[in-house]
Amino acid sequence: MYFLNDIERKTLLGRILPSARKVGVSEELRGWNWSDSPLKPLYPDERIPNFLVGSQYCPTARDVFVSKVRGVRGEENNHVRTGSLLHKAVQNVVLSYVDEVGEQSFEAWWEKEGSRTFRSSNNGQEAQANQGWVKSFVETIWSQTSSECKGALMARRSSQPYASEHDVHASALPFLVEHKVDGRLLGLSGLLSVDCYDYLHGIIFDLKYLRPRSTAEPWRRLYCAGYAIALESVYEIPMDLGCVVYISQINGQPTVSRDLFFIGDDLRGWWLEERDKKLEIVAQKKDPGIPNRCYDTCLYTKYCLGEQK
Amino acid sequence: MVREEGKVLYAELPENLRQVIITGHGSISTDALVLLSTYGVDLILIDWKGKVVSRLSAPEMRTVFTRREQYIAYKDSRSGYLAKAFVLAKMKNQKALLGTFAKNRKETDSAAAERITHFKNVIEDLITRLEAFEPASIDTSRPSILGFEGSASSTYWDGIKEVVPEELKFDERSGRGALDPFNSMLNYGYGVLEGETWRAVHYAGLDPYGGFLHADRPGKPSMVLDLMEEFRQQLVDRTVISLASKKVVTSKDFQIEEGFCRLSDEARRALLKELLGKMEEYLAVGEEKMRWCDLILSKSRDVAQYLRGEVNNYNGFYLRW
Ligand code: SF4
Repeated sequence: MYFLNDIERKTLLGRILPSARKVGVSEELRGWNWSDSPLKPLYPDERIPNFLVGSQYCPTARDVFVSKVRGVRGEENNHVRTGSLLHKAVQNVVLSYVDEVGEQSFEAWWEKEGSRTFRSSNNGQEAQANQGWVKSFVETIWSQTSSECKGALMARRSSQPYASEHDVHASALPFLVEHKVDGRLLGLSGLLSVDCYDYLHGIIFDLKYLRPRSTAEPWRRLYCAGYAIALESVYEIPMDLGCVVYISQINGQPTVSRDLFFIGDDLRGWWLEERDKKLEIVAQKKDPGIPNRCYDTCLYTKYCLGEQK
Repeated sequence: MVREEGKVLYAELPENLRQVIITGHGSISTDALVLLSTYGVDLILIDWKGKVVSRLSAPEMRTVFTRREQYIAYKDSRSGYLAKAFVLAKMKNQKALLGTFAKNRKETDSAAAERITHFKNVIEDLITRLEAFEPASIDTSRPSILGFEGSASSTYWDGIKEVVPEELKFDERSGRGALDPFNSMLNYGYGVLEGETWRAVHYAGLDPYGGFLHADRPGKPSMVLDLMEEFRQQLVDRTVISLASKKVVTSKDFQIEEGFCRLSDEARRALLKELLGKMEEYLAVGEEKMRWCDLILSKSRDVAQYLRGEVNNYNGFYLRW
């Protein structure tokens, strides 16, 4: 999932990195300037998770109001369950190689994670009907991730025969997965979790399970921008590259594509605008209202539209 | 070469110049005029009220095609589309500036910060509504677009009033012939911006008088005024407010003349220095880094390209912060 292919590498080296170096990032928009405008949060006592800042599903951002002000928990659906299991599977596989444990049994993992997710579902029948399909979907991603990690380790070992085993792992798999970072300096939660941070190439990865027929919209880059600024605020080093990894299905087959980009001023400015708007909703307990058209698989449909009736 | 009482004050090669601004008294030789024209350097004269009174530039360099399309576009939906794009960008910049000022004041004056935030939110709401507006030809759409623009602007200046030092006596925005120091600084700044935008419009092959948002009126460079809408806030307003807040310019720098508020030479020089310095500063625009002056030129070219049908959209310039 987190290894770039030849074309992506060429794009990175030939276009994105040169452009990033040439254009640069305005100093005011670097995370370490969190105490100054424009990064300084207008409501320093409020916190919201980065996924709510980035999410553009609800056109009026009422999801922020409903979840953070009213404290409503969204209705879990099959899409959310699949996405969450995909995250856990990828995390599990990468970590087992990073930690030098090696290949793990998918069946054993599924028995523990997958079955539990479906057992605890509050929508028993719908969940059960999908379980088989989800299992085989996640299993394909599991084995693909495992092969990638194994391949990278072998390539590294064969090119550097005198490297220690630790060196081989740290450079072939330079990934901090589910990396925890404190976003409080920026008005974000204290426990942000970055899907993956590639510390050798300086890339922040965000994994997304895409609904069938949905497209890779530019706003999905906002998540990486938020993590980049938060990481900069904590580590005080520049974080300029982001990558959204899209897992989707074409003809029932898992398909992986990557959107690699420079986290420049435009994106940072956009993220800031979203953060400020959403922090304000929370701080002022401001109901932004129901839009003309709701996102059809929104987790809060029952709450918002039920309430409207 | 600039001389004062025989002493050389400044010398520069013509190829290094982009524009010469004459403000105040003095004279210029015809040799200098020819030299500037040969090198495509514009010369503009701005009076103390900030009005561009004269402009000299090299002859046209583009074909008539762009201008012809500009005139035809007036009658079709492209005119409304462009006018909407200019106003939308202007409103987004207004919103961004108020947002920044609100944040800066949060700790020092939270009541003012809240008021500014309120004004920012009103503009945000107007932006959403204008975004949904489907423009037709400008004659049909002008009242609606100007309605949005007017509401946003009066809200914006209410917000700006909160950040202007009281001694500058800024009460409301007034155009030419300002009666208070803050307005007279703005007018002067807009004059400089107008000169720069005029140059850009000219080099993009557009007719400076053939605008869309601003109605045709003899002697009114409507296209220049249209395009500069999206640059006023980030370039001029921000600079003027910063000079006022830092007390570089104070009430002592003004006097009432002919019933109008007149800037002292020092204050005008300070403002000009800041603004011209800013024109040379770089900013990141998408995947490019460019100077503000080149950005204005690039947006003019975008308008011309849109009118010629080489691209099917035009996005006004705005900064989100
Ligand atoms: S149901 Fe509609 S209003 Fe409520 S959060 Fe979802 S999209 Fe927004």
